[in-house]
Amino acid sequence: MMREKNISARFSLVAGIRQLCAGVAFALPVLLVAPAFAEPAPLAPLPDAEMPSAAKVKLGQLLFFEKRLSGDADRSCADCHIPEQGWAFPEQMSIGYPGTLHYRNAKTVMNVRFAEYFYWDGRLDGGNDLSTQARDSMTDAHFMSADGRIMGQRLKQIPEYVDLFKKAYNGEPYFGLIIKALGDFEKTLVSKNVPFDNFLKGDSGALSQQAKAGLNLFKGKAGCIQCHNGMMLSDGDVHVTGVPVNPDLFVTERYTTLRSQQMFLGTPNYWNLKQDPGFFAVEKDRKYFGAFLTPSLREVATTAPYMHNGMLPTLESVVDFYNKGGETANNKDPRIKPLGLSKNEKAALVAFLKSLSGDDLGIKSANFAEENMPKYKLKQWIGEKN
Amino acid sequence: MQQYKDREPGLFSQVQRATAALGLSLFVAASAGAQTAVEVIKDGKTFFEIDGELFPALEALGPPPIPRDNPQTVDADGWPVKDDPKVKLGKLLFFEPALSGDGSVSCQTCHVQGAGWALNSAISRSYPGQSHWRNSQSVINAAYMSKLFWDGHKESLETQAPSAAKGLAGNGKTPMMSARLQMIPEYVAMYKEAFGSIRNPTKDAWRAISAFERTLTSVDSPVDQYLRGDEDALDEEQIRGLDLFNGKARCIMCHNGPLASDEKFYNLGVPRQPLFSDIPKNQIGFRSQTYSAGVPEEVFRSIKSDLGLYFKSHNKEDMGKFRTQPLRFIEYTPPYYHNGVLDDLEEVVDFYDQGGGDDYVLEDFGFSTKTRKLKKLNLTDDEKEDLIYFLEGFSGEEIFISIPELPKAPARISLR
Ligand code: HEC
Ligand code: HEC
Ligand code: HEC
Ligand code: HEC
Repeated sequence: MMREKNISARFSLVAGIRQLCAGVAFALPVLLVAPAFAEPAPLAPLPDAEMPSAAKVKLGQLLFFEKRLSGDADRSCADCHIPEQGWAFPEQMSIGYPGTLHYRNAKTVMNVRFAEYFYWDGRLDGGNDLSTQARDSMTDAHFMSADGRIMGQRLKQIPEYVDLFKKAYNGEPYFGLIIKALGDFEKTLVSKNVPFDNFLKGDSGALSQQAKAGLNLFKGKAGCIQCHNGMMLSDGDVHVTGVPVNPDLFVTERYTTLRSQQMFLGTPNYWNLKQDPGFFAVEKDRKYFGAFLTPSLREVATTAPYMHNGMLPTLESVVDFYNKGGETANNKDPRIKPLGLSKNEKAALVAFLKSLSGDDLGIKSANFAEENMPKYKLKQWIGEKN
Repeated sequence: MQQYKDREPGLFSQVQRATAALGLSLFVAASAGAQTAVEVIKDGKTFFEIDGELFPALEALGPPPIPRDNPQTVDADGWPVKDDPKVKLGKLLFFEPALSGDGSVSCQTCHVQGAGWALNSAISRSYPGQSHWRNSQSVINAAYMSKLFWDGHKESLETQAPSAAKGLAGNGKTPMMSARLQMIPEYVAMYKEAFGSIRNPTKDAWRAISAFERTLTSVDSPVDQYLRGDEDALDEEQIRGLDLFNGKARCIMCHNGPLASDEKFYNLGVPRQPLFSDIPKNQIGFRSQTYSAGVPEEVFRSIKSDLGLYFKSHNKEDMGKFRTQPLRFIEYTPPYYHNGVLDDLEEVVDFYDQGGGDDYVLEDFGFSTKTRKLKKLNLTDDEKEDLIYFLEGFSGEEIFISIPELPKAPARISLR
């Protein structure tokens, strides 16, 4: 199987070897010859994955809702990844750390343990490493702006946490264990009882007729599977699809975050960006300007609005977008082209997309409201060890 | 401080005048019975002798030094002028909350002009959600210091400012703070004038703020006027206080020279701050800083009170040592010491009268680093009063400036 991946270009030898080990070889750069696209990986159900111990999950879950893990003690992971909102944020673009606004849609944290790469621009390795991402979330100026060393000391001031850390990891709270616990909790955020997965496992009644028709379109006429494939319905690669620029990108606080982050990433011309540069920030090649990682479509019914900047409000609007071949954009992927889908076909496609969501995990934000969280307690000072 | 003006000429200055002509001489000033300062003139400079050692006399302050790599306009006498583009920008930035993580804290938040350009609380506030662990210092005359902070760990205002905006004070991150400033057209114009462009928004912000701080000087105190030769500037009690300062009370051993600080480090046995035993958030602030200092684990586990210079040097002999504080403007900056544990100058003088305090380093680590320079002073109540009067004479006019109106970013960005 020959697959060329834009996104692998940024990895040196190490990543190359990793991919070779995974049985994937590099093909000639796609643009040299007429597009010869890779055979899509087959769609597959999520595997049964090993879960961390109950003690670890209990701790990690509490931390996920813990606002004191941010500088100002005013943002938790769950503020932007709201369980009741598909573990994402229900607006086009996310809020940020107090005093900031984000310039992208908040992605869901459902099924992240299976993600190959993280973020809309795919700039971070996924694999099984959720801690590195959690470190980013806690320390980035626009997310939680925390100093990890201080966060450890905050939790040490809360006897319940001291106890939970001891039970879970036989250690005391410190940054390294905090991000580990967050990652361990995220490992449990796996879709349950997904109709499409049940269908793939042999329960042919799990999908409605309409959804089955949608699946066929997805694999056939609509061509979605060319990019949305494998068990995550993502090829783990980046593409320009021509999603229009969100005018609210130029709201000063959002643009400030864009500029600050792009400055940090060393993006050429970061001070005068007229749109989100996407993967261009990672691989500084013009052809990636505006290219984004193919997102997973799991749980997609619950994570509206859609695309990196939330420009598409509903699944219907997403299908319309693809049906008309996206908007004009430089370097747009040639597979994004008018599809000529009928009204019924569009509805079928949407029905299929809805079959990718499982049962609610039953985790309620209200249970973690401030008054339910454990409190700072005074410690005996003189004579006690820190 | 005008009330001190029309008093008798001071004894100290009479002695000074009498000795001025001699090369090296030793005077025991003959005041009414009490023990007095021993003045020594050596190579034309005045010193006071205590325990066989010479300490440079107090002197009036001249203009602050200006670093070569951050020039600013000065007047004919070398004083930084306010009408310099860099200073004007620095003034705005001193009040600018964009220079913090959540945009809610500016330098002025903890260096409040009505509170001696410091804070009246024993332990400073921090950014929201966190607490600090030390008393906020005045920025008045910080321009003269070559070791900044209570533990002297920064060498210049230019290197001090970023650690204030980014650390436990402001929690700001450079790229975000830079981008925020660049969004504000007035700043773009002011940076252009002061620095040529706004390509280095934060680095140049520290330079501008430093230039502004160099205009925040207090050099007109009665003590300064007196030291410049105006004998009426101090009254009789204050002159007796000065004599005690230079002699029996031993203050000159550390608070000497033009700054009234030798910029050296001592453990005085400053009492522990009970707020750390009493408030959970203070315990967090305290441990966070000691943890971040990267000291060996066994030390971290035992730290219950601030170890000062040790956090910089990691040398056990430096445990509990702090920079000698300069004394100008002191009246406006209570409470006192690195942990704000003493409320007023009466308590400070009582503290020295008792020879300083118990050494918490000894209690926590089993060895003492307390300075031998402090001894029981046996000051009478009158003497204490004289000394306090004199200390008050170190404070000139309170310094107020107009609060600038800060430029704002437009609601939306329009690109060229
Ligand atoms: C202020 C809002 C906010 C907070 C707080 C926040 N996130 Fe996010 N998160 C986002 C946004 C926005 C993105 C997408 C950013 C991008 O693509 O550049 C994101 C992306 C992610 C991703 C990547 C998902 C993917 O599939 O690529 C993970 C995982 C994640 N966040 C976990 C966390 C965790 C864990 C925390 C708490 C430690 C956290 N987030 C806190 C807004 C937030
Ligand atoms: C050329 C590759 C490609 C093809 C073909 C493709 N997609 Fe996508 N898809 C992407 C990329 C890349 C994004 C993210 C774009 C962005 O955020 O700007 C995306 C985003 C989406 C999203 C939004 C997910 C979210 O969480 O916001 C949905 C839904 C989606 N695609 C469905 C489809 C459907 C249905 C089809 C077929 C009609 C299709 N895609 C065809 C690459 C593709
Ligand atoms: C949240 C409170 C807070 C904020 C905000 C703050 N400071 Fe401070 N400042 C302090 C404290 C507390 C100290 C003493 C800290 C120490 O010694 O560790 C201090 C010390 C200083 C000193 C040292 C003075 C001396 O005598 O050595 C200077 C100068 C100073 N600050 C300037 C600034 C500037 C400039 C800013 C803005 C960029 C700023 N501060 C912001 C609390 C604050
Ligand atoms: C051995 C050196 C030494 C001697 C002698 C000494 N001091 Fe100090 N002084 C210091 C140091 C060091 C500090 C800061 C200590 C700290 O914060 O822990 C200080 C702080 C002060 C302060 C508090 C300043 C502030 O901003 O909080 C005052 C007031 C003061 N001294 C006055 C005096 C007086 C009056 C005398 C004589 C009675 C005296 N000192 C003698 C070293 C000395």
